Amino acid sequence: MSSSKRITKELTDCTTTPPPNISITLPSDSNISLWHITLSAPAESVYYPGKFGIIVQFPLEYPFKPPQITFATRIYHPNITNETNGSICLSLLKTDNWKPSTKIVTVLEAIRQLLVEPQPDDPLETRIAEQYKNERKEFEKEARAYVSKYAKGQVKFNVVDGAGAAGEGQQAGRAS
Amino acid sequence: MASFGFGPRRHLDADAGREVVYCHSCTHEWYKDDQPPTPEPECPRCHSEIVEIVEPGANDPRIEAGIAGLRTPSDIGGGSGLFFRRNAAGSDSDPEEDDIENHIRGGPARSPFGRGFFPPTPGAPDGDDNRAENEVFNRFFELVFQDLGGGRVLHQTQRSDSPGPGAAPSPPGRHVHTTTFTFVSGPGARPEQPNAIPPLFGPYVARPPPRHHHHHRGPHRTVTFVTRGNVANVDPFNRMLGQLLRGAMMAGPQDPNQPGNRAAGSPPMGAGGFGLQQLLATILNPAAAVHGDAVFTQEALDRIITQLMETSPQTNAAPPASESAIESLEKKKVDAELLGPEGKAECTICIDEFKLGDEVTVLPCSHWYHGECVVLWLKEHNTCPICRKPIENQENNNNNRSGNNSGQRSPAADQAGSSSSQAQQPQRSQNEPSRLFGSPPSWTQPSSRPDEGGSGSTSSYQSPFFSYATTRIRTPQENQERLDRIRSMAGQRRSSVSPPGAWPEDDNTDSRSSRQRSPSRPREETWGERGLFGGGNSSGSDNNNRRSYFSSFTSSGRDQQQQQQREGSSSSGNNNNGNGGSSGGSSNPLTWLRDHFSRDRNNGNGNGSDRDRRR
Repeated sequence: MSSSKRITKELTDCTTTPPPNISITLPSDSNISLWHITLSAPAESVYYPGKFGIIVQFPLEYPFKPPQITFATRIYHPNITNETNGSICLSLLKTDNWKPSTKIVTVLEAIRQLLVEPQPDDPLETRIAEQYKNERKEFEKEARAYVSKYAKGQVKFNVVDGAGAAGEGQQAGRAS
Repeated sequence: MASFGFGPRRHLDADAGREVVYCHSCTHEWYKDDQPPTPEPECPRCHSEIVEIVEPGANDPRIEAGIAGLRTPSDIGGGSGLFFRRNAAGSDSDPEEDDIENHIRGGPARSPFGRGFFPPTPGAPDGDDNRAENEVFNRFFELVFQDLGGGRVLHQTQRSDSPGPGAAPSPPGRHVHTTTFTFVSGPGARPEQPNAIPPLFGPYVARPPPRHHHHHRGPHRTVTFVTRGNVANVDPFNRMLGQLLRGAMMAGPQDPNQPGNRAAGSPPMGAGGFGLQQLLATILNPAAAVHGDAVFTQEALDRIITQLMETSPQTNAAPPASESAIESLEKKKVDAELLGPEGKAECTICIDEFKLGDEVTVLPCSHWYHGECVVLWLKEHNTCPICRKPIENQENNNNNRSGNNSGQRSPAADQAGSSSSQAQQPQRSQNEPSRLFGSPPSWTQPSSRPDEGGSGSTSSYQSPFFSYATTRIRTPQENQERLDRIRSMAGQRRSSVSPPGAWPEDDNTDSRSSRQRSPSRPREETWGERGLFGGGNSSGSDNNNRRSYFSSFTSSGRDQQQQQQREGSSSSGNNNNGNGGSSGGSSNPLTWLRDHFSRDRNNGNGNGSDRDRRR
């Protein structure tokens, strides 16, 4: 009830003044708490010009619980799980750090920033983090390869919503 | 030919109207009414209390234990079978033990040399019971000398000097067996250098070749093994080595052209010896990566951590604010002053704009919100939704640690006992450990495979009675069933076994390190000590188990220092409160995670305030 009210407000905000590089669609008219986001990688990031699908699931308790956010497009990134369901390690999304005053726009900006500046000290994919730290060239090459392989063309939101959301819950717990 | 070890072992008949009792320690069975009644049922032979009244049918413990005795021809090649068999034959200086062995393995009519486990070899002279073992040395020497200089075993002769001819049972200790190996060593090696033999083979005697092999070119070396009496009394290390190599040999590829290698009586291939290879396969098999209380891979560790995090809802997050604290918050009407120079403001929770005259709640940090909005949040977390400043007990900035919190809150909670949130919180933290440790089956299953392989072969030359345990590797389920049965027999009805001391595992486990660690852990001891069978029950010891388990689990974590600090505080915490680690918080494994992640928290705060500033 209160969650949908706030979500509606946020959605209105986002559509009237859309954040840069971000477009929002609702996969279902009846469900305002599931958003599909298309994020164009910033030009200064190694992922440019990839387009990444992001699934945002607002919990019923929103804004008292953080939204669950997963990448639907595969991405080679230290803080985003590579093989599995695209969980993101973003501290402000963790239950411990979540504050109701955080808006989804803020979160999306943080994710965009994460593409520009990966945080290898706080990794979900340790191997990629090591590579990012020690062999930046290799990392960039691999990341670009992923972009050209997965992040070109029409963005797909293939991840099943439920599975994606559930997986995110698990992953967020162990995100370090 | 001597009798083979096939056919069911003989058991006392449990259907005959008398109760048959079976000892799980020494596999002895007896009629209950034969023994004087004791307060606790115990084995008259080994005085173990792990005994069971046999129920005829599928639950007969002897059937499971006796599988070794029920070998089928396809099992013949089982390496361990050979192994204990040999022991049983030669090493039993104790006649009574010998009896037992006979009883277990197929009756006294059996040949004392255990050759029943091998297919009959045409023309093999009786008394060649050491054939297979020579095979071991043969093969082993080949390995060694190939490594040392490309030599090969050329010739092997065997001679048995027994008091009586053939397989007539000879008194233990008088049997002399001589094996001669002739080696061609590498091109550079000089002939007849028995000194070059590795010191490994202490018990054996090396001597010059008894005859010259004209048909071989190159330097020769003859090594003669003289084993006196029972081979089992030979250096255990060699036995062990032989056992392991034997397993490797049997599972490994064979060169059919190997001269002198395929001696008569060699066991069929592929029947799966529980040797080195299997041991390694078991240990390194990714499917077996989790053995209850030990992990071998990063993924397994991750799974466990995930499991921990899921099992426990407890987080770093700030605890709920108390009702009284919420009630005591300042409330005021929105006025122009509050709205500030811009003349408008919005509630950051519902993002609605405030209107003049709305009643708002102002937190001690002077952030203000709609009353209903902020109360909903405060009932979950007692911090300001914007700046995270706690709304109560501000002198203690550290109060988002739940451990401290329960302490803080307790006086208030005692007075205002009606508050539901207060009542729930401590209770929840008390229930935490039991839920955490009690549930998932994969945690409670005692792991057996790697150490059964290891310790089993160790014990088999010490005591033939337990050696049957090595002949078959039980699945964890079987093991669990078995343990459950035993436990219920011992009158100890615990639903689960808390994992005993864990093997510390690094974050970056690799196969090498796990190989180093795994086989040598003396875990049997641990089981015994930790009161699996040890009678009595004390939650205290359980707690100790858990704590030590987790401290060893965590001590391999990244920072030892932190760990040590925590251990210090954990022990004091446990001493102080009787809860044994639940409310002390510090001994809770989650504390480790929390400590660990609190570095994130700092980062998170940094990030968060960043965002706030930006907004």
